Amino acid sequence: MQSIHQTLPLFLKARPSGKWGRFGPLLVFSAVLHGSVISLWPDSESKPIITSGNPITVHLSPVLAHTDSTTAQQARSTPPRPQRGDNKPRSIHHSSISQKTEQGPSTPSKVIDDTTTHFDSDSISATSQDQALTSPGTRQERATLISQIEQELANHFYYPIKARKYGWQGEVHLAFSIGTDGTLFNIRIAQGSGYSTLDRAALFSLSEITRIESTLSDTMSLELPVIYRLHGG
Amino acid sequence: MNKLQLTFSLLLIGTSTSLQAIDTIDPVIVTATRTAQSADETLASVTVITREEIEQSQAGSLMELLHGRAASLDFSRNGGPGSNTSLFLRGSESDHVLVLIDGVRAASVTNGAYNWASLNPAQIERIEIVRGPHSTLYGSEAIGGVIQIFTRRGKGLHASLSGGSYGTAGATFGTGGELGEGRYHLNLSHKQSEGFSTTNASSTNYESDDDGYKNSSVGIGYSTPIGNDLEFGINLSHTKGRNDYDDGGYANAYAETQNNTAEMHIDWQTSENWNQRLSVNSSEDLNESHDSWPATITTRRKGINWQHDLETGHNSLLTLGLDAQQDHGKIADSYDEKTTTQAGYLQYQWSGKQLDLLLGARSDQHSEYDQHTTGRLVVGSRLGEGRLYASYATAFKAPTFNELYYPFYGDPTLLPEESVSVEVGYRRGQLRASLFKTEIDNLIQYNTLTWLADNIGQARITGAELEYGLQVSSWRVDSSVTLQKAEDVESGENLLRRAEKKIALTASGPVTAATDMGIEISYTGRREDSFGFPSQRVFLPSFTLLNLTGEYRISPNWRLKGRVENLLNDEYQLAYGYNTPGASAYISLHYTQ
Repeated sequence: MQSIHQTLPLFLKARPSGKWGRFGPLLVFSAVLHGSVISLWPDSESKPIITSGNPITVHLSPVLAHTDSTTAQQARSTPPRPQRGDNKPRSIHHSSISQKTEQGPSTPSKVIDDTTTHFDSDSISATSQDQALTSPGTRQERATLISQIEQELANHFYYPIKARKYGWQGEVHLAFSIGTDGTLFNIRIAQGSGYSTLDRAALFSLSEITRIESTLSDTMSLELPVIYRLHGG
Repeated sequence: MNKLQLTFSLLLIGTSTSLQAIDTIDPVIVTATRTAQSADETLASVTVITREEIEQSQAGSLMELLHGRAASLDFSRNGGPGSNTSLFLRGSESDHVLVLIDGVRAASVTNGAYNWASLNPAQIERIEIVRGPHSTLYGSEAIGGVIQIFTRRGKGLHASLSGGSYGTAGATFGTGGELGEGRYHLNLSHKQSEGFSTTNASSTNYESDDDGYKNSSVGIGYSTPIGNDLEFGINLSHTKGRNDYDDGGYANAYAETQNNTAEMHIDWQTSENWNQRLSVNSSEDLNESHDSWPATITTRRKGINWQHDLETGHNSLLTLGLDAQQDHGKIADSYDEKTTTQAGYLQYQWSGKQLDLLLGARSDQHSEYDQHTTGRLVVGSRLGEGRLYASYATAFKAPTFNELYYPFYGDPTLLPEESVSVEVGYRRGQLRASLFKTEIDNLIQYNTLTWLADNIGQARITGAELEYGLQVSSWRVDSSVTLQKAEDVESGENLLRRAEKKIALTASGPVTAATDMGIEISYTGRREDSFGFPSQRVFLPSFTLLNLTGEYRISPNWRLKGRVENLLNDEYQLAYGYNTPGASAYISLHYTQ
């Protein structure tokens, strides 16, 4: 019986006969597709990666001064690519900043454990745990500011399509400063994830925010870890 | 060293400016669903079945595994496991689903369909079921969708022994791990069953003897990085099977099958926004039937694919590819022919804050039917916590070798079968819902006026599918509902063996510290079938299957598992005149390192 199905296709695909019409719009559709693709093709170099509204302020912190020299180089140079074998990014310690922040109040791995299970697909969220901060400006002021930044950020970060396709995950540390008028400036990568796609996405997302609706008594320098994490599948 | 430098610079500059510390804000966590390799779930209806689920279900065949585990699947089978098995995805024809095994096209070129009985679930790591047309990436066959099967990987040693009803016995062995810079895997499996009679008294081929089957497979693979930017991989597989069936007057009819595949690829990260993959593959499928119409059928396929992924801006991806395929089909004493296909395709995907866009187009150049172009457009939008998408796509199926070349039936001037589909879908976490409509034109059917195959059919399929998964404490619950109407446009009759209603529920989780349980319930509505010549229509009644699974962990390395199938002993039919398993039980012992 099986062989009859194989050798006599009329049994395999026997269906009542009928008339048919050819698909006219196929070629038109393909032409439209080609046209739209060409016209929509974006120029990757057309958008500036870093938008610093306020390039230099009076109140540069010492650490900023230290990394300023490496900023341009870091933003442009490709971080080392990950080892393919284990599919994990190499950890990169470019600057003293990253060393310093690793001792900071929020241990990223801990945060991942706390939060990953709650998120829906494609949702972006920021944790809102209060931290004791030592700095100019009142604690109150900083806490308000940080929650504002977090809200802004939640709307700006995205998971790059290519990183989702290739299964790339990682953590990017962004360093930036906020001026007394709420302007973000000096945005740069403090520590790369090992995937330039993730680094550029993080940098671009933050640079989309030019200003926070807030006034400060003093310029602040902040470092923001951005964790890219895939689930499911 | 760095610390010293930092301290030093702090001291130096600290004297001239007010000292300011850098605060680390709480991390922003950006999460997303890992994209299936076959398609992006945010813009298409995709179900993924992982190794974990395969282990949990303990299903003895691909059909048993997939039935009730994803929406919009209809199966037909000419007897028990091991018998010829067909799948209808979203109501389309059995050769309208593209089956890729480690990226290699798996269907026979002679009758166009993949035999779902040939692969043992023990050899599988992951299955991606992509519903809806995807010819713009994959070319011919992807009208109802794409089912991509990745063979088993894994680390360490594993082995199992199994046995159960109908004289069924099996064994598996596998190992995997690091070798040099790279990774290897090796998997062996064997399964055999004395079975039961494939036919019942309503079949003209009826014979009462048991019809058993045997299936042995080996899969082996290695992948390794070469320097920083290259990765090389190779996968080889071999499957050998034999199954008995009934052929009326011809006693003890059986078929022997053999399948070999080889696949090699190189991934190259050319620059920070350009990745490319070059892959070559070759497959061979032999089928020798010993019955009243003996035949030796050979399929040989060779393919090469070169694909590029280019990041073209902020959150956009351009995929470009070239495909070439040579197919060779041979039925001893009937035909021995080759066809070639060359294709170029591109896909552009852009994702904004609110909107997503996907555009795809592909052109295939075929040695018989010349040129065929397909396109796909998907627009997506955030809606609440989820995403809504709408898509329009064309797809096609090249004529099979039987349709082109079989003496006194085939016609080399046949055109491809072609389809237009529209779909609206929504996805929010583990909730997936779609409404779809597909119209297939130029369907190849037997023309009683010319006595040849002809592009004379037309089909229309409309449907709605819903999949919902949730976690209830430590239990995993998945459900699906499919409502569909698949009909011949000219006659208004239903397409055969496709149910209008399907409902399924699976649940699994721990019962005690060492015991897991699982339950699978599925309802399949009534379907139409035909029999005899000239054919008569008949209804296959609806049926409900209830399966139970259990697992007991004897020690960290040893597990005892059991599966009870068709506990309600429903005497269901997947094809008129053919039998299906009654209540049956299987048990297995597993070792994992």
